[in-house]
Amino acid sequence: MSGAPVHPPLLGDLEATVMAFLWDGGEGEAKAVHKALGKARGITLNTIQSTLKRLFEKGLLAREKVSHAHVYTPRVGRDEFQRGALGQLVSELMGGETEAMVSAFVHLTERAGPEHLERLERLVAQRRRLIGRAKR
Amino acid sequence: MKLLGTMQLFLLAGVGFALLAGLVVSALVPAVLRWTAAWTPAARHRALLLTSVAPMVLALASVLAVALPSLLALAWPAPDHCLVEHDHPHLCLVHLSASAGGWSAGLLLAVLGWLAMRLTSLARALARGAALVRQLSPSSRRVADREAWVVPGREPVCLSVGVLRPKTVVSQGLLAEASPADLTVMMEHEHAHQRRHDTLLRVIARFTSTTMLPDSRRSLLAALELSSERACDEESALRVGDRLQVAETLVAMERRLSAPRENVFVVAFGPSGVPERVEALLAPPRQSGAYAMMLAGFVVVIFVVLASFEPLHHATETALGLLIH
Repeated sequence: MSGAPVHPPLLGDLEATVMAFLWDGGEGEAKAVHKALGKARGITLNTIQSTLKRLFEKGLLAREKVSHAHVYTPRVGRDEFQRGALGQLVSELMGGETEAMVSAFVHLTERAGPEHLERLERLVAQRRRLIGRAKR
Repeated sequence: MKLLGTMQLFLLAGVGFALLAGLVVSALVPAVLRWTAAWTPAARHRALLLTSVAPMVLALASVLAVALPSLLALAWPAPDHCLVEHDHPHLCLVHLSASAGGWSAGLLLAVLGWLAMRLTSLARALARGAALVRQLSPSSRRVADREAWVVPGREPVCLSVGVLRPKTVVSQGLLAEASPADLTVMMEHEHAHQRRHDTLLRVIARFTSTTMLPDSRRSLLAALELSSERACDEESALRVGDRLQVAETLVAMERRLSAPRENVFVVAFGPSGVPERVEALLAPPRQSGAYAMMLAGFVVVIFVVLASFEPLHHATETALGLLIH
């Protein structure tokens, strides 16, 4: 699939459910989506239609007119979308106001640099050897 | 209307105290960083946290101190503290003051507006962060005996996200690449963050240190961050029983993140903290930390501020008088 947005838009709960349904191979006509998701959730066909339209406007769905109805298909694959979303999560969370709400085991966007890394690897390996020798 | 005028004076005094306390604490930051450098990471973290909340706590204590004479007068009306013949604004809930004037009202509105904006932007950022995590449709799973949210993606990611109830987020890429020993270290490290409420404390520290000088605040918050990471490294080392294993996991993760790959993150070389953390784990564990002494000193300062309410009250009224007229 092509045309993936660099930064995937944020999805609401229903939008995410509809995307998951279509990614799983669900039929992309509004009535079919409503039959699969809408009835169980107690939502109208209109709501499903406007959700599909929003996802189309966000660039996540393509549509084609078949007789009188639009049939929607994903423009962006699930992997592609989630990959973008993970990148967005990290780049947004590791900077600005949200930085305070995240603790990464190792900072994801700041690197110590190759010379530091090689020195640390030498130090750690040296210590492991020393411990190994002491045990023998 | 007069009550509004009095509240305006108290708010003005509060802003003044917050700025003054920010300056004083900023001046003390280099000494605090030097003093606590050899402490255990957990003790240092507590000390730096205390330093970052000090400006706001000192400002609140000072406002309480200047309000004390009128609060006492409300409780026991007989000893009236107000020198009513003096032509200066009264920080008094008994003798209410007229408004302090248009410019000071404007200043107050600006300060309160800025405060509201900061809180709103923080709340929006937190909501967006939560929505971004939900977007990844995380599946809850046990990783190395700890509960984690596993998210799709090839990048090696391990982090705790959230303020009140943080969750550990691990990527499928990391689960595929990391050894069981590495995963145990990482999960114990993240679990330590959650036990210690580090993200919540960090949000508080950022907010309460707002009135400090930018450079001092930046160094204080960076040291606070590093000390919390080191404290979690130590807790993780205690749980797995091997400090060197934690150092190895850190280096391995840094290597993974440095590997040339089709990375979705924007990466920069910067103060990642990994060298300091690894070196600290290779050195013998630290034993000292005079946090109790520091806390006692801070309590004494607060007590002195509260005890000197009478001169502080009159000095503040005089200063407000000079500022307004």
